[in-house]
Amino acid sequence: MSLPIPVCAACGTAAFPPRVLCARCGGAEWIAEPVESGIVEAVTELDGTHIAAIRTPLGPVVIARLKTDAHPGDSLSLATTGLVPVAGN
Amino acid sequence: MTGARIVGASESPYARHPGDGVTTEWLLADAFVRVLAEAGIERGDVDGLGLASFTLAPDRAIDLAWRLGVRPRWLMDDGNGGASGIQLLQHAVRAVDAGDASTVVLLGGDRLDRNTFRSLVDNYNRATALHLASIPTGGPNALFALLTQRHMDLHGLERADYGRLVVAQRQRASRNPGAVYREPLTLDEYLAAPVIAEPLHLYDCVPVVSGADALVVKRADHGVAVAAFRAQHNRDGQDGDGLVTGLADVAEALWAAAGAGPGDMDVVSVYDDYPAMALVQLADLGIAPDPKRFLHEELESLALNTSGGQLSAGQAGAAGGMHGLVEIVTQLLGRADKRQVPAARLGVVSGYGMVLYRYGACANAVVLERT
Repeated sequence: MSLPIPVCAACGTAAFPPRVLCARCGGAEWIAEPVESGIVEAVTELDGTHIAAIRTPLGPVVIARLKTDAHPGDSLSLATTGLVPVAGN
Repeated sequence: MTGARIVGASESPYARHPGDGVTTEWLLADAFVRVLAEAGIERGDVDGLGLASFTLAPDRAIDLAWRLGVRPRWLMDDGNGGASGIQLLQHAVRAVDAGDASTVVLLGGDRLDRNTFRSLVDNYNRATALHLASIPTGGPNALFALLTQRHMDLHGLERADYGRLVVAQRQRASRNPGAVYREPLTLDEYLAAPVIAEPLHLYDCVPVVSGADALVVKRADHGVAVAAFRAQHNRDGQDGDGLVTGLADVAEALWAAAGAGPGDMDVVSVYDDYPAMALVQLADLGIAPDPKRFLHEELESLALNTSGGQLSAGQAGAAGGMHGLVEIVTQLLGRADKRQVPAARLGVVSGYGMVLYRYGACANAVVLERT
């Protein structure tokens, strides 16, 4: 269970959603690095779906569907459904 | 200062629920006919056409020009939503000054019913379609709920603070017959409105409408001049918190080019898809650096979003990028009727939008001057 985040093969800068060229060095080669957890920055609920902004340890903040209730500061496990980040156990 | 002037501004009335026979093309045509009459020009004089629309597809500017009976020698599409109106204006002014066209009409508009809007926001760009739509986020609502929480934390704001802006804009909308919401709104009603995504409730979310806006740019002695234009898109590549737009990077140069400052503006329009973003743009432009103080001490004395803004007048898709321009030009031409700001000579309009993943990627602004 993890969330793959593209990391520039040349300079190590992470990007989510994926880019074509690295914003930092212009590199075009990307390696998917699995990220297992992140820290909740903000949460909301829309039509019964719990949604959070979660900072990954690689840098990018992802928008994730929550499987559990959560609060800012919580550390949650990360996975994906299709290409959508999902957080919580 | 250039020889190009905005000599007309019109809006095809916004409607919350478009009739079955109403199409995007019809709305754009209606705005076109209205602005020709407003500017006192003939269709045959028009040799430039610029278009911003999400829902005219697969048609583009040339298809619309043909259907309107226009033979342009200058033609432009801009699909960049909340930034499109100011971008089209920038290019139109330069085209007229360079002699590429003599009379340019700029059009922005969309027909958005429930299904069309859902399809638009779910497929807004590939980042949204692939990584957000199936959460679902309800279009931008959940994203700006998360952003507004950060804004509240940063500035110590509560819902009632944002409510002051929404209530004030609704009061201004009561003097705009074109606004879809004109009846007064109390702060209690604002606070009691149904929740959309905390902390956003119904009146924090821009109402989706159908409609179209139009401007005419031509060489003239009198009209509204673009005194300065600046843009900065992709300021932080979505790696920031969304609480600063590219306007912060260009405000100083914008005011220097205009030869005026934030305090000189008689009328102000910022892109108000959500109250927090209106406050962010006001801060970035240097008009209201402290949002709490602004809401409590300065809001009533600033002629801000005098149409009621999009929060009361409505957001007609890509026309949202032209709505503020049409309102400020109307004010500067002295044609704002019951909501006219007396002797308005200088105004500023900002554009914002194109939510790329977490927040808007585009930001631009013009200072306008009556001549």
